[in-house]
Amino acid sequence: MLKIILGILFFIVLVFSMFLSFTIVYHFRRFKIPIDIDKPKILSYLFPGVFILLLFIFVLLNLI
Amino acid sequence: MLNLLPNERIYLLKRRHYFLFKIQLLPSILLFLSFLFLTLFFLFWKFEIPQFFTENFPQLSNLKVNVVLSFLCALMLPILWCLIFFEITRYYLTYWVITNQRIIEARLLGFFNVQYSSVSLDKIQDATISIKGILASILKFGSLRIQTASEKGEFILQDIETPEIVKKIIFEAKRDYSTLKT
Repeated sequence: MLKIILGILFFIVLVFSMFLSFTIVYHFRRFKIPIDIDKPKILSYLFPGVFILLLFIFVLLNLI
Repeated sequence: MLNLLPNERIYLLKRRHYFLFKIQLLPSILLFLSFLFLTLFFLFWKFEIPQFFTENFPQLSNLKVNVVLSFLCALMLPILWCLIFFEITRYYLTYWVITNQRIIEARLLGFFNVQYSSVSLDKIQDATISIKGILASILKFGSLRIQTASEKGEFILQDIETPEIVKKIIFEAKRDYSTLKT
């Protein structure tokens, strides 16, 4: 029972975070500024990478 | 996306002061680090369920409480990470651009909620600088209120660095624009 609840929680957070992360990357790409774009561009690439790392911790914990 | 007119050149791009952005980001980062610490702490923590519980509920003896707690803390990490990045997104996508023809304001009010407004330099009537507080005085940031004859009425460049210089640049650009038109 506990595993099911944790699984559901995991799924909700996963979907929510995925949605948010893609939304953020979309915003950086869609509403970019003609100048001074370097930093946000780096950020948009940094975001999914770190996010995947965090997910990795998730999955590891889930597997234990 | 911000589209410039033909022959339009950008003079200045301003955002809120970087210090304010960092201050705003600090609680989320601290919360994120706390949850990261708790996740690791619970993961390596040896927790024994009190004997009273294991005697009354034998199925609890198989439960790894520390892993469950660690998992719950880890669930918070992506949410907080997204919130941190939302703040960064809001900081970068809220800006003011001063060009040789107009002032453009872009505001990210929320996700999928971006507001662009612009005012031609010849419609600018007056500008007021307000620097409130010790921090603002030391770090030289403040708000610049620009009165315009446009529909929007007032343009506020909030918490920008060195508002005096920005005001000077705006009025020089306005003068150049007026001479160019005549």
